[in-house]
Amino acid sequence: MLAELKRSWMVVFVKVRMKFEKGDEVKYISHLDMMRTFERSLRRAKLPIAFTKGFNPRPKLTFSQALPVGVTSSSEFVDVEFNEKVEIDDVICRLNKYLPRGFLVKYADFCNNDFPLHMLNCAKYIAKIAINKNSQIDIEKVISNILARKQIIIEKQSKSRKRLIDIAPLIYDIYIKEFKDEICLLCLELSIGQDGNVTPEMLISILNENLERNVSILLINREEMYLREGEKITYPL
Amino acid sequence: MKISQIVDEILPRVSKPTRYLGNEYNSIHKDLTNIKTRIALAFPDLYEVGMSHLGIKILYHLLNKYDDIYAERVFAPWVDFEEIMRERQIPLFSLESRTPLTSFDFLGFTLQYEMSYTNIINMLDLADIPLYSKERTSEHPFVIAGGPCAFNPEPLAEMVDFFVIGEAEEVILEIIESYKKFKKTGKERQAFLEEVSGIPGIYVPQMYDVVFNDDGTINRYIPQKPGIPQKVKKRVIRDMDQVYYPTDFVVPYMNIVHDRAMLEIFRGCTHGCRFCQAGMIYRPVREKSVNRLYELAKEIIASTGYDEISLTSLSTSDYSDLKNLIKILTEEFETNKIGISLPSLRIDAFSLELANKVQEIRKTGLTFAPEAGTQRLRDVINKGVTREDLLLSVSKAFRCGWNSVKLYFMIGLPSENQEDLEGIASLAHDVIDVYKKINGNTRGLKVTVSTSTFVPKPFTPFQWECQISLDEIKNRQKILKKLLKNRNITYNWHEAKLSFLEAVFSRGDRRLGKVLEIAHKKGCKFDGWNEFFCFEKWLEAFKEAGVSPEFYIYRRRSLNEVLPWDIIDAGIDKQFLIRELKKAKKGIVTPDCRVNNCHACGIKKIVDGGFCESKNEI
Repeated sequence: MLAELKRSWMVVFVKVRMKFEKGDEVKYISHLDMMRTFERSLRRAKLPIAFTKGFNPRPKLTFSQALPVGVTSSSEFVDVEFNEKVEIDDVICRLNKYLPRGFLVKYADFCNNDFPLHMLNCAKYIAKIAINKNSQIDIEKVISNILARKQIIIEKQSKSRKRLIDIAPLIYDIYIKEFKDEICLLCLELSIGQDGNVTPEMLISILNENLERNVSILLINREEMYLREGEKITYPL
Repeated sequence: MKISQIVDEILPRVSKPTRYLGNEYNSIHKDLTNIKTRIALAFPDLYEVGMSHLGIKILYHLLNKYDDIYAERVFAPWVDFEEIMRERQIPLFSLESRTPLTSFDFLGFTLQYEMSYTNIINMLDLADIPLYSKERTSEHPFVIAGGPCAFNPEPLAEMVDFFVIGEAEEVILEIIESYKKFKKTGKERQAFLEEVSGIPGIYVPQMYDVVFNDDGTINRYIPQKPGIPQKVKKRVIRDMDQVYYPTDFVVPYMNIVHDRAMLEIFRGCTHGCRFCQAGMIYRPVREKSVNRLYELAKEIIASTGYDEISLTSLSTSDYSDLKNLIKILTEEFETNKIGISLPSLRIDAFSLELANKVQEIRKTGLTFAPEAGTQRLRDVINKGVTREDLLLSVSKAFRCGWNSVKLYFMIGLPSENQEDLEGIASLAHDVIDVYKKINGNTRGLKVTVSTSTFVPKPFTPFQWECQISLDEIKNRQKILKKLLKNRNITYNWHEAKLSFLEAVFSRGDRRLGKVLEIAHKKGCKFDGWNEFFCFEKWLEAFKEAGVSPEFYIYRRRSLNEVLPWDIIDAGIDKQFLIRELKKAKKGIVTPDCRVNNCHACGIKKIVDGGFCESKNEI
């Protein structure tokens, strides 16, 4: 009895933050399905996951803000709690072995509760779009126009109702990174999380409303996620 | 443009694109250059339904063990995807390699329920494979089918090249062996069909002429050539411990109907419920040993990462060493919070201790299937369960803290009357009273009553009976709706018109093929899905095909009539079924032959030497 008690006192929860990639193969996996995939992969990897207390124990996993379905990412985060000591390299190596192809843990480290993932409020995307070769000037104009606007009202469909929101304060930056052979790499820095969510697709449809010839999206990738406070940027890992 | 590229382009535009990815964990991707035989395993419904089916998983992993065989999966695409496929002329393709089905050697359908038949036709159409067997050429795969509905293969006789009757694990490899030899000869398609008709368990419908009587009943089946069997005997796996069972199941990304590891503990059932086809066609009872199951369970969890393992069988509580099995499994999985679910528990054998053991890890709902409302009718159908059994089990469950109970019944069973319907309602109310007695009130209690409509099935003692009329089904549902009005009761019922069609096709003959073709042309598909089911189109299809559905539903067959499925030998003696029917009419029960005497159902004769678990010889 005493030994039991002692052991339960000694249980230390170890929290590990991982940065991972969500590639082309798995870009259609929804956030919820991805959560399940990680749970199962951790179990396959025989890693000592900690569970929530209560009637229906769940593995203790916390993910960064959901990625739109169809978008790849080089920078997603998950916090995993373990109920015994783990080696970071071992966790990365074993988890990568058991994750489906398309998911790849690139980096991990122990973490505390100082900077929970829900504080992330900004994401940077690169959108590869197909565009008419003479439209570079047009698109540059439209972009600076959008950035200059004080208010951009769009209609957002939530589960039950439509509502109007102003996305102007949620756009941090848009610029053309590269323009070559009718392919344009567009860089978008947009708000995520509690302040409001703007997806790259929403912005590209605004672009299209203002362009004579429509651009079409070839690929979108989330490059980075961070906490932005004015000009100060903090990365989660 | 290659299919693969087009699909990538389409995926962002369809609902639930993960259905079509084909790259789930444990899915098998092979280098096509070394493959000699390609087989597409098709489930004629959505991905999330088909991926919940054990049979297709067993065959998938079994076939892929062989280096020169590649088995891939294909499901019915949802309507949004189908629309784009038709618009862009993309033929139906396999999930893994995205190869058009016409490039396969075999296309195998599993027949789990009659209302998926139009989806089979739709899938053939999408794949550009001619609907009728006789119209196919060397350009097309052999279309084969198996599963429970293959025990009456006749409605699909003109569309399926051949049927596999019984358990396919062994016979599928014999078919492929035979195919490899045939391929070398370079002979016509027909030659292969003749060849396989000699393999036990294979039924090649076009090798038989069916002669009909003037009254529309069947006169006889005539094999067209010598050597073609008079009756096709089902295949049975002898040793469940020796037979192949996969452990590296494909793990879907999306939430599917049964999203858990499946551990098959045994096959067959000897309770002998007289309406139940599964209880007859899957005989004899064969168990896997506790040791084997323990090893399999560990491997399955290790290779899939599932957090729940479901013990599957027709009637879980009949497993001889269930207590021990559950003890071993809970001990193994407790620390990792892996739940064990026990579907198909019978109330007569229901054990409080077992449910409690399972509950320690995770709580699941409780389901009871009394099937009929009165003891008289339960005796007629040979469901050896009493009201006392049910209430005792329920009260034990309530005492342990359960508060949600599901009760399954059937309406329209032979001889059912008003009293039986009232019996359903009073059982439900009795359950509420039990809860009240224990907890003082009914707070939190949820009793779900579900009724399906009796559909007479081939190879059951009720195979000669008829279904009640559509109006009568609706009438009885109405009576129940009234009787079950209570805030603790939820009443669900099965769509009457679907039961009507099920009754036509479950005991139908070859002439129904035409009806299926016309119904599909009129747009019938996903008939099991409320939003698509259109009964009027079906009635038109019957009319245009000149086939009367009433002939199949409302006609009580005489005991000496040649039945469409008489061409199949399911191992069940017709005389046994007749004896059971007569006992049903007198309300005499037949006890389980595993604890009582052998009732000579005939299964002992199906395999040389005979094997079954009946305790006593007669």
